[in-house]
Amino acid sequence: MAILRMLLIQRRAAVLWSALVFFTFLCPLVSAQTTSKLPAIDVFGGYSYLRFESKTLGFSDQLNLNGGNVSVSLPDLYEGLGATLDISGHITGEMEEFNFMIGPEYTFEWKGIRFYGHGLFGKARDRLRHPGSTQVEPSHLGRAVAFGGGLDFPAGGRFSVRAIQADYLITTEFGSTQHNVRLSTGLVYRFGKK
Amino acid sequence: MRFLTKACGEKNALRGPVGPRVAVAASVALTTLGLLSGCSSFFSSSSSGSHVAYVVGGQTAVSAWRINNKSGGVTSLLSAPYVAGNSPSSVVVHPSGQFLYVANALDSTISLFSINSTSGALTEVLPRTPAGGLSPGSMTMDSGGKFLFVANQGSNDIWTFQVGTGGALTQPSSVSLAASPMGLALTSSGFLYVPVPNFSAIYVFSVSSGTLTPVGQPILVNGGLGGIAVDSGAKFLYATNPSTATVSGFSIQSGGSLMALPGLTAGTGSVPVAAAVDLTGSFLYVANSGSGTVSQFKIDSTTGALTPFITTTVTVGTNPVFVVIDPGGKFVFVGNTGSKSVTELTINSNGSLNNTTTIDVGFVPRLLGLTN
Repeated sequence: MAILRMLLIQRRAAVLWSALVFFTFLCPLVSAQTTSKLPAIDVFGGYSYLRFESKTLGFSDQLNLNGGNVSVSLPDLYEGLGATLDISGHITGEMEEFNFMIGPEYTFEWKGIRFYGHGLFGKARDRLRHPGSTQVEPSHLGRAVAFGGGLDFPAGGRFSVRAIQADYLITTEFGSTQHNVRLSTGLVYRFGKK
Repeated sequence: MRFLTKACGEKNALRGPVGPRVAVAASVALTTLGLLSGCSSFFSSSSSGSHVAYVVGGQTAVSAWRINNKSGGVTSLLSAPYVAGNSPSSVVVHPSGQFLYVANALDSTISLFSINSTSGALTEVLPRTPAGGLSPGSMTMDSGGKFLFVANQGSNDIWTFQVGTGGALTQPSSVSLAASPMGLALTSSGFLYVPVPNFSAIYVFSVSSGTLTPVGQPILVNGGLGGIAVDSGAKFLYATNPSTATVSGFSIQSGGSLMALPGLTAGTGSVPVAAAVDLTGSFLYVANSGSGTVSQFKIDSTTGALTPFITTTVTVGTNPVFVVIDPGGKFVFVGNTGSKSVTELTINSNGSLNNTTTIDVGFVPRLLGLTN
């Protein structure tokens, strides 16, 4: 069982790394063919930190989880309004936390810096790690809602640096509600129209 | 916002010199990463605002709840119940909070669990240690966490184990009794009191480096003998009398022997079977198995005399069998075998009890152990 869990964790980590490598190195090649025809599409990937309210789950204190965050956004469908698909995964010694969310996003630019805010809705999956000598496998798929935003600095060409994305993330897991904070940073690559 | 975007000329801004922008962006990103890692270490400070209650019972169960130190609020640990041996009958938490011991009556073994300090999860360290004798029913540990004492009800003996590296139990030794021991009470002054209901007698041992030496003859108790309780100052010992629904009191002499307190006939509810003295040594609580109540008394610190509160009893579940005082001294936990529950009671400033929470255990609880 422990080996299967390790394989699962390694596979998830591999997917995240693949996503990072893809938009860092391969995106420019793909985009050259399609830039003028597509609407603007922002692909983001990077590091993410999650402060998880684990006291509601019987832990002695809140947990600090580290992981990755990827998102695909259509930033300007209508007058700055767009939509974003956001996936993040975080892990620590005691638990894993994954979020799959989608929702509206509003973007505007000021002196070349892109600001955005969003409201995201979706699912969260939590699983306890190292649960001890027990016959239960504590895992749960609950709801997730996030409100937040961030800012991107242009970094040359189609790349920009997402200096910070901060989200107030609410999850309902194992029959209780957790109020969490998620902070992410990384690289954004823009496909299509600049 | 849109007018701002247009006024600032977004496209012009984006088409400026690339080098400085990259440098600014990189420095911002690095600063952010630094702040995030700083957040991690800042937020990682551990809180001591709660502790964990482990309840043993049922066929093989050890359940766990996190208790808020201030409010007494109860949160179930998700990974519980944990699996011990057959028929867990007693539990002891090591003073370090790192280990937990469970006596398995049907297996005649002791389970050692390591405690995860963050999640409270228990992981058993196998193999289990033989209890020495048969059907271990009670355990206690010295305040230093160096020795574990196990009372075996099937073989009428008490075994002492030294606590070694990683909580392992080593170097066992034993003393025999004439009948079945039904409890253990260890004082801070180094004496072990053992109730033997079959003889309605309390055996006394002095404890030196884990070695038990009998002190005088066993003390006979009138009215039958249930549980015993000793105050933290080791001044008085109280024994419940199930046959007469009373409590007997004894003063503890300097050599550990017991002297009956004259005229002490404090009445309780029906079938008192367990007792506990609060941390200050000022109040005595008695579980009445027959009436499903807890009797509450004030203790005279000089004479040891008991005075019942105006509200003499507090209702708990059906057939309460144990009373455990919280390490913080604010709560009392009562295990109810009939209703398969644990009642949490709050100790008011005057020592009286309030029924706070009922925890549905889901199995017959035998005993409860608490981390600090």
